Amino acid sequence: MPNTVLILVLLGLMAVAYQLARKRSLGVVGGGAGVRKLHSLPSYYGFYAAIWCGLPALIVFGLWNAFQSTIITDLMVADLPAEVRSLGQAELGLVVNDIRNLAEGNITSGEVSPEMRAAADHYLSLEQTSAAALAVVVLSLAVLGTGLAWRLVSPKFRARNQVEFVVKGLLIISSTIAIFTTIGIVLSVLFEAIRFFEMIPFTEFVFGLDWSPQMAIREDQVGSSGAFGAIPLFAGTLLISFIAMVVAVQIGLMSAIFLSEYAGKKMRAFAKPVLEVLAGIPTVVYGFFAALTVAPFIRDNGSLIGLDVSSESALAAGLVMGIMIIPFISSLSDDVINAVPQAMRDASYGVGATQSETIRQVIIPAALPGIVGGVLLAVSRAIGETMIVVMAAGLSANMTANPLQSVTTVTVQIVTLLVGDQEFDSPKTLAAFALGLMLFVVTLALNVIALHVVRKYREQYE
Amino acid sequence: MSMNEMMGGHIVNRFNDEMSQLHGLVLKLSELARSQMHDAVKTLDDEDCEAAQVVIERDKKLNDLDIEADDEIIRLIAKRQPMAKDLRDIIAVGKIVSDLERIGDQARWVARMTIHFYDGDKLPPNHHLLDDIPRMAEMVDEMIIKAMGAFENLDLEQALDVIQLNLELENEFKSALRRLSTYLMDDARHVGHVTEVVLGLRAIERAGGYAKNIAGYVVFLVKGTDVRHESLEQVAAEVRAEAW
Amino acid sequence: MDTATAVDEMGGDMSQTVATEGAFDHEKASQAFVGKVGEIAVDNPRMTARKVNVYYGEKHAIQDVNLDIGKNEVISMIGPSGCGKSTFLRCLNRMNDTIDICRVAGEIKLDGQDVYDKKLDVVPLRAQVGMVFQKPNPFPKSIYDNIAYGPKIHGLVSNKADLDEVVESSLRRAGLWSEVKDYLDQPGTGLSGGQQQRLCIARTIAVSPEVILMDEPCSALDPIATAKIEELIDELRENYTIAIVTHSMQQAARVSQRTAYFHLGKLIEVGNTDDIFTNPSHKLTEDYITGRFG
Repeated sequence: MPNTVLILVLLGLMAVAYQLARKRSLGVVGGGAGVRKLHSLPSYYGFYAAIWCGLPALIVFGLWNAFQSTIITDLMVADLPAEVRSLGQAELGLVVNDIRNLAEGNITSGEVSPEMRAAADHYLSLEQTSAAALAVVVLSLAVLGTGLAWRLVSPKFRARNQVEFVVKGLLIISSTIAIFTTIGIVLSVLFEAIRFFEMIPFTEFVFGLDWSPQMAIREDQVGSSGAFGAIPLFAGTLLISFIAMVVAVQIGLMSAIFLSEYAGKKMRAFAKPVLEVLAGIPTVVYGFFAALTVAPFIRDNGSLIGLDVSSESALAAGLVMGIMIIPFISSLSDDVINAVPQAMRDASYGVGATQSETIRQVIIPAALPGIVGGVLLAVSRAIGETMIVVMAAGLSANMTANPLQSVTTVTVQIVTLLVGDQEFDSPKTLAAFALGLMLFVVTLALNVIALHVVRKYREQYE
Repeated sequence: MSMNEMMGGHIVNRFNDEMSQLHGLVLKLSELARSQMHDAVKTLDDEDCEAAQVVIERDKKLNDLDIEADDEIIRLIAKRQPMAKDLRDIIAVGKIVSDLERIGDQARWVARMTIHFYDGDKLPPNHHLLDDIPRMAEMVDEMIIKAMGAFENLDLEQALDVIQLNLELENEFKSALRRLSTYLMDDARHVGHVTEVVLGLRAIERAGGYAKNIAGYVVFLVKGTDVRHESLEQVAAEVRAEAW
Repeated sequence: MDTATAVDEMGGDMSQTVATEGAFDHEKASQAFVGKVGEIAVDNPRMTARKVNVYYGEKHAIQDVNLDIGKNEVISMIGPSGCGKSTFLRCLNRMNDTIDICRVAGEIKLDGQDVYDKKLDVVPLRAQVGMVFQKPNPFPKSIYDNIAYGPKIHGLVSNKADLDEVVESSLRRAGLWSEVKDYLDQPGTGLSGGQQQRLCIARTIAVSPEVILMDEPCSALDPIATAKIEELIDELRENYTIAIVTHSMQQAARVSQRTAYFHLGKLIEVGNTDDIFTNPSHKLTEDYITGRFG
């Protein structure tokens, strides 16, 4: 029986179990009028039976499928001729693969020998047996579970508590999935980064001032030794993020103040969604806007006043990135400014403060925690931004504070390191993981600070 | 404005109930005070010392009711914090109750007079000496009825009648005193009896005064002004003045 | 309309409404109400309001209200919810300006100066006519900064020592000094509700107003804190004129010298507090304060 059919049958059984247990719960108290004598509502008895029917069966089903192929393969290998079994690990793997392909009707890599044919048949029969056994086991478990639950139905039985216990378990599992995924990502990045640090010393990476991550394929190649100092990348990242934040914080905050304090209802209803559209524009679009419109504009105007501006400049990338981040800051700030209670404004007007005094001295300070939180979130967004920088800021890892020159950022370098065919044992590729780890640490720290700030001051005026 | 409207209409129904209970208590007290006065005068007529003793005993009941009403008033003030007409109502009720109790005390004086006259082997008084007592007692009874009618119906005209009646009662009292003094001049041996009778008349006259006070409280209740120490004309002017 | 006809109409009105036994329609009575409301004028007025009408969009929130507020008196405004008492109060220092749809007509004068005069700047007005709100609303700043806020923005003080003095004297007058003098740098929001409200009163006092408006200042406080505020109001009367809106009739009776009763946007009755609470002239007033509707 194919697995999909099995699952469908199981679901059907669960529905049946639900109905049976529900009916029985009503039956044992003598119909609808007796519901009050039951500990739980009839549907809880139904759910309880459905859980007993489905859950053990599903667990067995999952485990079975997880281990089935290994066990079958081992059984098949045990039946292979002795000379094949005595082959090395890798070759044996190839043979097993061939046999599997043969069994599933795929193309095999070599000639099909009678032994292999026999092994494939064996494999197929084992698989069929397994499938049949699985169906029998699963269905009988389902029936057994239903029977057990059905027998447990009685007015005293606390079905609701049991069902809620299971639901609580499900909720816990769901919430831990996100946590374990994060931990998994961190660990995989961490292990690769550790491999990198085995080749390149940690201090050189963190404090090195040169970044040229090429590795020699031949010994005598020019520039054969790579340099893996991450400082220029972080400097570039900081420079661009700084420019972006200067743009975004000023424009964003001021537009937030305008929207929440000065704008009329209609203006606000129109302007706020429009501002938020900025956040919906794909970053690629921002990227070529920066590269094709803003960067040449800056270069041309720069040369007019005698400045030497490279065609890919940190300024262009930073400006456009700032524009992109505006809605983060304006929208979040607008929300927190609006969340400042009217009572604060009344209090300020009540002692004769003007609107601008009220905004500067009461509203902004009261909303500051939220604004700071928004700004920090925007900073981590800016640091992680890639596309605009790839297109507008260039790839050369310059150590410079001059926004008119081209710089590169951590994310851009990760992209360039991993684009194309890579060998996963060279420091060049592994450097990407180290950079990723550093970036992760920095943004994590920023997020933690942001959350902390927001939480610490959140309820102050309430 | 009816009494019902006066007490009722609160959002808190329990308050309405408590107010009408209190008013019920006042009416009960007034009935009791009236019957005390009536019975006391009757014992004099019947020369019945035992009945007089019963009247004196029954005064305790009046006192108990008075205390009960006072307790109720304190509870109401504490619980409901009455304002405006409710406040005036409750204050007026408090005063009415204590004046009714005093009317009962005056009835006790009359009953005591019966015992003084007819208990033991003393010489009973000349019947003509007692002529004024039933007549004045009847006037007082009418005053109490009218005062309570004024209270029950918030009828200020009746209250004015009571004040008018009180003037007449006082005149009655004065002429009675004059008549008694002629007896005294006739035969000085009457002096013991005359003194007793004067005290009895004085008690009845004061009962009338209390009834008049009750009428005054009703004016206070309705109009919010205290008229107890004003002349009939002043009160009448007060009663008939429109609120601005 | 001269007084005589007013009284006539009144009298007729009253007897009519009384004649309909049992169901007295307070809403109709108020809508039909025209006539004398008691002594609106005082000998020594600080603020005078004449023919004040307020509209919230289409809604006629206040109709033809005339009222004086005398020097160094506490006047309380009572009435059922939505009767316009808070709206009227907020007209007195133009707090209604912050509400877009609110329109005020009529004349309100502070010491003879029309507060709705186009040429008048609302900022000094609000310093002269301070306001204390229903819910204590200290700024999320330190106690010191809460008080210093007003004097600073109005430039009332030139140096730190002066400011210290203003803060101390304001807190003293609000009866809060001894409780907070060691915690001036702590946030004002950390105080108890009653202390917060007294802090707000101190903040209002700090800009030396002439009139203090209080919009249900005790409605969020417990009885002890309420008693302290009431005591404070009584003390402040020496130096300030106070108008207070309250839902508690007992509070109005306790703190004020005059009481104004509002109903459905109209001023129904105003008079000495002693009279209003023992013997009000209008059935509407009486029925409200005796708890028969509202």
